[in-house]
Amino acid sequence: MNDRDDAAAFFGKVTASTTHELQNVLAIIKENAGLMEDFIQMGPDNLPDLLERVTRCLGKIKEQSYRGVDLTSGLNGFAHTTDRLLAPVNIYEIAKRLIFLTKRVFLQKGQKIVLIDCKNPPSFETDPVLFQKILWHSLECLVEIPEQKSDIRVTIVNSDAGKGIDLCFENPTLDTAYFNRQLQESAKWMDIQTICKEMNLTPSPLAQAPMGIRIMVERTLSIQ
Amino acid sequence: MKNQKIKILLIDDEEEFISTLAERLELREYLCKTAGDGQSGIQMVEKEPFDIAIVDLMMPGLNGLDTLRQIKEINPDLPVILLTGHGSTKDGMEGMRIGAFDFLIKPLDIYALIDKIKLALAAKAPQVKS
Repeated sequence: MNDRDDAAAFFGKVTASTTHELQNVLAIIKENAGLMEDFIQMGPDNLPDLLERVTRCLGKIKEQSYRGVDLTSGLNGFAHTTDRLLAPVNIYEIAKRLIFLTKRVFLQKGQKIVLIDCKNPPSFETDPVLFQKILWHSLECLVEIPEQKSDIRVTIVNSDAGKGIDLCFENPTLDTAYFNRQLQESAKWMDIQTICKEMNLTPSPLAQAPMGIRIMVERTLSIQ
Repeated sequence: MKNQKIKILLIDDEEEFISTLAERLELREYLCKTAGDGQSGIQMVEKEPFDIAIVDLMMPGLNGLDTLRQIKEINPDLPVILLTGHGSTKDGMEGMRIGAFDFLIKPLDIYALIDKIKLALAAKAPQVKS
């Protein structure tokens, strides 16, 4: 499978997860609309608090509509990352959207992904699809390490030493040598290294606590 | 069969969805209890009797199929209806293979759900409270 075919599989997973969540949004809207119908059929004689009940349903519909808009906007932005092979990528914003759209996939595996706020996130020119694929594979890599059940914290690196992103977890019971061995044996880690090389990014394992993966942007790339 | 005697367990991580569905079923005189994840649902099946369980397939932690397997170990006679998305009908079929009565696709039609509940209860009629 080449990088772009693999990227299509990645897009499929993200889209499936997001549309599943959208189905839940629509299911809640539909049930609340149905509940309002039920109330109206019962009428004010049987339901003295009819107006209050209907207002409560409308509030829930409104709330779910906002949730639906966030999901469709996120999915639309994600879809448009295929528009150009090279585009400016804000590391924090692209990670934020990907984590928002895929949180359910990782929650189903029992893991929460937490993005740490970043006030001054760096941007650089790259292939946005492949960059997201690297982030996705990195998260999958860490989630799939046996006995690793801690939350994964995603932090943007923006210092004089360089710009990039750290994906780490705190697990005092997990041996660092064991983590390193698992990472080196992972096919996804090999993929990450191959793609990073093509994109002038530098991946490295973070072998000391907090353990994880660091992806750094090489200085030759245009960084803002 | 009178609805008010039928006790339904709804298991789904979408709290707003199950609470609203429970309210609609209660207006139709079913008794409903809800659980926000598979593990809590299983604990409820261990502690108290239900006539039927409605279980979402896609849940964080213990997924719907594993929840179904454990429910069937505790109470093999408890009919289970699975809820699934359009893209997951394969999981619904797999659920039926391991003992679910049937599956329905979200968003639901309440009348289709009620029909399915009645069919499931009719299929285990000798054990249902009258």
